[in-house]
Amino acid sequence: MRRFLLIMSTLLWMTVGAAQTQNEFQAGLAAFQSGDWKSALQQWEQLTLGGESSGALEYNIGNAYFRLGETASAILHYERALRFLPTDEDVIHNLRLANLGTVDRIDPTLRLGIWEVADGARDAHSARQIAVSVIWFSLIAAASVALWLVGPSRLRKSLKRASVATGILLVLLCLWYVWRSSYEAQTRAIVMAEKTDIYSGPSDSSTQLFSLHSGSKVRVYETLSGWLRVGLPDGRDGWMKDSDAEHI
Amino acid sequence: MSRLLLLIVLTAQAAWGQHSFTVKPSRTIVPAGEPFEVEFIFSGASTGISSPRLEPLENIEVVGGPSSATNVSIVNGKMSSQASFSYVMRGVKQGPAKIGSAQVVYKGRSYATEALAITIAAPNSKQNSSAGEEVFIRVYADKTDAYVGEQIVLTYKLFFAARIAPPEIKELPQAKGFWSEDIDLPQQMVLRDEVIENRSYRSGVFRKVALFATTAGDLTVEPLRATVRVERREKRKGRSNDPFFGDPFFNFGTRMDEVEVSTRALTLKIRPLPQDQQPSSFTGAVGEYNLSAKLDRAQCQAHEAVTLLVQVRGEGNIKTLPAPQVSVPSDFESYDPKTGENIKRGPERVTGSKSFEYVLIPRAPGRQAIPEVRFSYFDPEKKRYVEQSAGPFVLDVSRGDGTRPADGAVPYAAKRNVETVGQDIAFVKTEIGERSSSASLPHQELWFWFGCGAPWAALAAVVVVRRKQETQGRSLSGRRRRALRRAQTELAEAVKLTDAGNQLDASRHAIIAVGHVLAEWTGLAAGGATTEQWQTEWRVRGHSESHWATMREILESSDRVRYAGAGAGEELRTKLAALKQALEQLEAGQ
Repeated sequence: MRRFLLIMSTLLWMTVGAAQTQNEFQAGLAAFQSGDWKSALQQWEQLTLGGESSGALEYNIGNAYFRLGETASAILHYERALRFLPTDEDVIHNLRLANLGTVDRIDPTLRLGIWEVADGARDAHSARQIAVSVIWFSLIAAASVALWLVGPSRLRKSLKRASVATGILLVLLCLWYVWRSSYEAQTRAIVMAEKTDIYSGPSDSSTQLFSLHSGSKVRVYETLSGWLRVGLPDGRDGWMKDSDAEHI
Repeated sequence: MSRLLLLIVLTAQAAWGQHSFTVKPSRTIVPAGEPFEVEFIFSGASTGISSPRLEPLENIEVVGGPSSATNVSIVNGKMSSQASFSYVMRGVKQGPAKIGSAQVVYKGRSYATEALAITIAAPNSKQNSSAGEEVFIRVYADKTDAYVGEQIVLTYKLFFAARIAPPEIKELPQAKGFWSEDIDLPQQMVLRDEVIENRSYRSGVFRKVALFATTAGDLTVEPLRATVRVERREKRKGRSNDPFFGDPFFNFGTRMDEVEVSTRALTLKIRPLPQDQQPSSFTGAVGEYNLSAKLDRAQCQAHEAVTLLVQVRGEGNIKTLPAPQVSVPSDFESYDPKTGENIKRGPERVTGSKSFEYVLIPRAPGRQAIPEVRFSYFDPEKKRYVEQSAGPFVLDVSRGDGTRPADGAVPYAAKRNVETVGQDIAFVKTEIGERSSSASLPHQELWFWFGCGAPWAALAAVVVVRRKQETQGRSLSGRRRRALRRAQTELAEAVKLTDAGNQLDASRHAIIAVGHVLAEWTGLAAGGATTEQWQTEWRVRGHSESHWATMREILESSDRVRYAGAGAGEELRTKLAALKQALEQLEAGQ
C-alpha cells in the first residue's frame, strides 16, 4: 500500500510539473505573439534553467533574441536547437538569416563534394534519435536470432537470412551513432563579444593573430584557465578569452 | 451736417464708455540690465488725459519714454478709444522689483493702476564680449534641447550703434549633423531699438535658419562670420569743432571701416526619439502633420489608371518627409509615387506640404479595396507618437472593353514571376517537444546501454534454457515424442481392456500403438506395410533389434487372439508389459 502511494504521488508530481512547463511555454508563446519579445524570452529561458531543454524551446529563444536584435545570442540558440533537430527546416532557415547579420566571413577550406554528402548523411539525425533506432534494431535482431534458433525448422532458412540482415543494419547503425556522437561531442562556441582578438598563446602578451566579431562560430579544442584554443573552418586557430564566447 | 452728427455721437459714446487705467508689462521676468516695455493704457478716451504720474520705482529704472499713442476704433458700430503711454524700463539688480501705482487725471477725475511686481533675473551671460562695441552679431536658438528631427530655429541678429552698410556673410556656419533650411526674410531688414548692457542699439534679423538634427548627441553649430562696413568719423586736426565740417550731415569727415564680426559657437543637446510605443508605420517624421488621401474616382474599368493622392501637411522637415505607408493590393499594378512639395519657409518656422501621387492600374475586375494609408510622426511638443490614417478606399472595377478579344479566344494575360517582397525568420514553434538534458550524449547515460543490452541478454537466456532442455531429451524430435505419446495412450487402453477380459479389442489397441511407433521410426505408413517390410526398414535404420522383437510379438499375438479367441489373456498381458518397457526405452533415446 505504501509503495502504491509513493508511485502515485511521484506520477502526480511529474504530471503537475509537465503541466506547469506547458503553461510557462504557452505564456511565452502568447507574449511573443503580442510582440513582447522580452517577457517571452524570460518565460522560455526559465524553462532551460534546470539544464533540460528541447529543440523547439531553444529555437523559440533564438527567435526572441533575433527580434530583440541580438544576433549573436540568436545564432547561439539556433545552433543549440540544431543539436536536437538537425534537419528542422525552420531552424536552418532562421540560422541562415541570422548568420547574414554577422560581420566575419570565413571561407571553409575546399573539400571534395563527397564529404558534403557524407556530412549531410551524418547530420540527418541527432545522436539521440540514432540511439533510439539502435535500441529498436537490437530488439529486432535479437528476436530474429532467437526465432532462428528455436523456431519451426521449415522457417529456419529465412530466419537466418533475416538475422544476418538485421545484424548488418545494426552494425551500420552503431557506426553511424559513433560518427554522429563524436561530432556532437566536439565543443563549439559562438563569439558573443562585439569583437575579440585571437592570440598565438593563452595570454594577452602573445602575438595577436586575427580578430573575430560577434556571431562567429568556432570549434573549441581545449580550455586553459580562462582561455580557449579555437579553430576556424578555414584551418586557422589560436587562443581567445573564454569570457568572450558561449558554448553551444 | 452728418459729420457734426457723427462727432456728437462719438463724444456721447466716449462719455458713456467705461474708463479704466491698466498697466501691461511686456515681460514680468526680466534679466537685470535688459530693457523691457511697460505700457499704461487708459481706455475709454484718447484725448484730454494727463501724462501718468509714476510712484517711485523699486529696483527698476526708466530708460526711455513715455511715448504716447492713441487708438480709436469702431467695430460693429461700437467705438472704443484708448491712450497708451509706454516706458522702456530696466531692472537694476537681481531680485524682486515693483512698479508702483501710476495715476492719470481725466476730466478732473484721477484713475490709478494697481502696483505690479516684476522679477529681475540674473543678468544674461555675455556673448562674445561683443557688447559695448559699435556693431556685433548674436545668434539665438528657440530651443537648445530638442529631439532628432525637431525643428530648431536659429535667429542671427545684428546690433549696431553707428551707421553701417548691410553685413556681408563671409563664412556660413558649419552645422554638422543637421539638415538646414533657410527661412525667408523680408527684403528690407526690420529694425528696432534694444538696450544691451546699458547701451542702446538698433537691431535687426539678417539671417534665420531652421535646423533639423539627423543624429543624437551634443551637436555644435559653428560661429557665423561676417564683415560689416561701419561709418567712422575722420579725426581731422583743428576741424573737429568746426560747426560746418563737423556736422555729420555733411559726410566729409567720415570713412567706412570694415569690421569683422562673429557669433559664438552654439551647442545644442539632441535627444534620440523614444524607442517604446513606436508605431510600425513610423519612418522618421518629426513635427506636427496632417494626413489626407483621396482616390480620384470610385469607379473605373480594368486596365485603366486611377490616381491615389496622399498629402501630408504640417510643420517640420518637409523636404525629407518619408512617404506614408501605402500597401497596394497585388491585383494592382503600381509605380513609384510622383512626389511634389510645397515648402513655406517663414516667417517664423518651416511649414508646408508634400504630396505623393500613386498611379494604380487595376488588372482584375471586381470590387477592389485599397487598405488604409498610414502615416505616423513624433510630436516633440507632446513627446509622443501620433499615427494617422486615411481610407480604406473601395474601387469598383468593371470589366474593360479590351480584356476579351472579339473572336472569343482565350484572353492573353502576361504571366509574371511571383516576387519575394520580404524575408523574415520563421515563426516560433508552438509545441515544446520532448525535453532532455542537452549536456550528455546517449552513450553516457544508462538507458542506452540497458536498451541495447536487454534484447541480447534475453536471447542468451533463451539459448541457455534451450540447451538445458536438449540435454534432457536428447535426440527425440517433437514428432517422435508425439508418436510415442499416442502409442502410450493406446497401450494404456489395451491394458485396461485386457483387465476387463476384452482381449480382442485390447489387441487391436496394442497393434495401433505399435503402428504409431513403427510408422514414425521407419517412415512407412501404418496401414500399407507388411511385417516384413517393417522389419527390413527397421533394420536398415539400425534401430534396436530387441524392440523389434517385442513389437513383432505384439503383432503376432494379436493375430493369434483374433483367430484363437479367448484364453490367451495372460500371455497378452506379459507382452503388453514388455511393449510398455520398450516404449519407455525409446523415449529415453535408447
